[in-house]
Amino acid sequence: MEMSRLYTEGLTLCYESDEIIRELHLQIPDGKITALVGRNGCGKSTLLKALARLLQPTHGHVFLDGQAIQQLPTREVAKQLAILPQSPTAPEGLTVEGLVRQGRYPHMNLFGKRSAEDEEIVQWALQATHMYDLRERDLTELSGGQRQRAWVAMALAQGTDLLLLDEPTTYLDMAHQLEVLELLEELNREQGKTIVMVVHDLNHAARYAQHMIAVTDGRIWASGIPAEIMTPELLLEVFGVHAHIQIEAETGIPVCVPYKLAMAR
Amino acid sequence: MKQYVGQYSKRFAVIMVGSLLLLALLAIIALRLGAVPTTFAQVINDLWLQDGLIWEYRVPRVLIAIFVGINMALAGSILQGVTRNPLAAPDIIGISAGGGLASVIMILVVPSFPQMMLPLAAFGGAVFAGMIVYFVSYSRGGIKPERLALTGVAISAGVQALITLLIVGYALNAAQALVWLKGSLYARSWQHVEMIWPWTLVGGLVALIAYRQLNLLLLNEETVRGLGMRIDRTRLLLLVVSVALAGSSVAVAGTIGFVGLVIPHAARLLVGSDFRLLLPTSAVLGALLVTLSDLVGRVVMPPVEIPAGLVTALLGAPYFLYLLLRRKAAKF
Repeated sequence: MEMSRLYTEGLTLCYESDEIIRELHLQIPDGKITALVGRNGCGKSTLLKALARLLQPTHGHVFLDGQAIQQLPTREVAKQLAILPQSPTAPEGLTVEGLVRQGRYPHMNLFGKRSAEDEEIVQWALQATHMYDLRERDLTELSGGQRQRAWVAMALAQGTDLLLLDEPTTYLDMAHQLEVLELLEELNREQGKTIVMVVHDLNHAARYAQHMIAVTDGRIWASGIPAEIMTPELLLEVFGVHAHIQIEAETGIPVCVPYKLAMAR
Repeated sequence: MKQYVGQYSKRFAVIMVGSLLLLALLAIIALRLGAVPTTFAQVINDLWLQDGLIWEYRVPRVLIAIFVGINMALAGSILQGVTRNPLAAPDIIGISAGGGLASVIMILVVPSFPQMMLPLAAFGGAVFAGMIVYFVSYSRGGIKPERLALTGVAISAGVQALITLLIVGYALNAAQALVWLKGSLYARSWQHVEMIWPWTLVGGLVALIAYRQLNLLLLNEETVRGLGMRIDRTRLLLLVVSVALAGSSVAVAGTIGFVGLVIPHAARLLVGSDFRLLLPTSAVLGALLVTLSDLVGRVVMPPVEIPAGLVTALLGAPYFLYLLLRRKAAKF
């Protein structure tokens, strides 16, 4: 099997002395949207951080283009891979455009000279995320969905093919959640971006991701096409709930309806 | 091209030009006024000949006031950025206190210590205090900015107590130490100018180059690291620069307070949070405040001189309270 651009070998991650992820072998399929799902505290966010070299593995490696990511210059990694952490913060008064410009940081030299290319990508990122008209607004004045789009725009300005997002839809209402997810879908379809996202809503994962990885107790319980792996067993084993899985007639997308908490977790 | 809301490039230009003109005016007045009355003709004459009372005493004093102001204001701006704490300043987190303690020890405990070496001791004390603060707030793989500010405050308090103890213990000879601690530009010469200007130059250059790093550091840490910044190294480098700026200024002028704390806030109110505009504005305003304070201290009740550090605090403290009251409704 051909190697993806981003994969792990024997990856073990610890916080303090707690083992979060154990000897994980994982491939992130190129050009697809991958959803990392699992319970709170199952290690999916930790895994995402390690994939973005923000966390040093205890054992094993994350590989980017065949090289151990921790050994690559961090600035070079930032040109290949962008990460949007959970609930990022910006100082008061920063404009959307000011934030998006920060995305060009890895491409600048010591004296911060901006090229015409930098400017072009910033403008493109603002347009791709439908933030162009709001570019002069204070970030803190925007709605949750708009703000999240602004952060996505910053990550896009990095000009990377790989985009990692940690719970990009948290704290957003339903419409704003879809607003962000549809943006990601568009970026994947039109720009061929490889996207990895941690999501809580399984139905969102099934609807927008072509690949799903279910994590439980530091290991992968199942991975594959959502329609194939999203089963009542997965819901029971990974999330500890009894659920019905229905296949939506029109789209062929599975929808889960949890109805009862399993006794033993 | 606006990075920040409420940031006006035009306003920035006006403020810079206005402040520089004001600074020039103050400098000329400071050259003319003093214990020995002089005329403008004499000022021009001395400047032209590079000789005489004005050239020997007043020119270096004005220059030192300018450099000390720039250094303290830049050090405070950088510290506030790196620690993300609006209350961080060299005189709050122990750098100034470290310099103060070293000098007071030399003045009081080792009276044979040559006067000319005092700046060196002060600089050493400031750097040493900065190092302690850094290492105490260091934990696995880097410093925690929040911890740095708290550690600094604790160390500063401890060092201040030691200074007070020494002063009480050596009460009879403490007058010189007290004046020094208040931060004074009395009897400063060209030698002192030479001790400080290289640091001002380095600090200024760093300010010109590092504003992007400082801007980026205002975002959350994971985002900053994700963008490819070696955050620990950058923070360390910026801290070293601010310690050098503050240390050199403590070395030649004693512990002049409030400039490092208040000026960055004043600058932020005027031009916004973008360090590209904030750093130059801080530098000029800092120079202005110390020059003004030294001038006021010299002329209000001659022949007694009020130490410049006392005047900066007298002007700075009410202004700072005003800032706090104004921002009471806002976040901090």
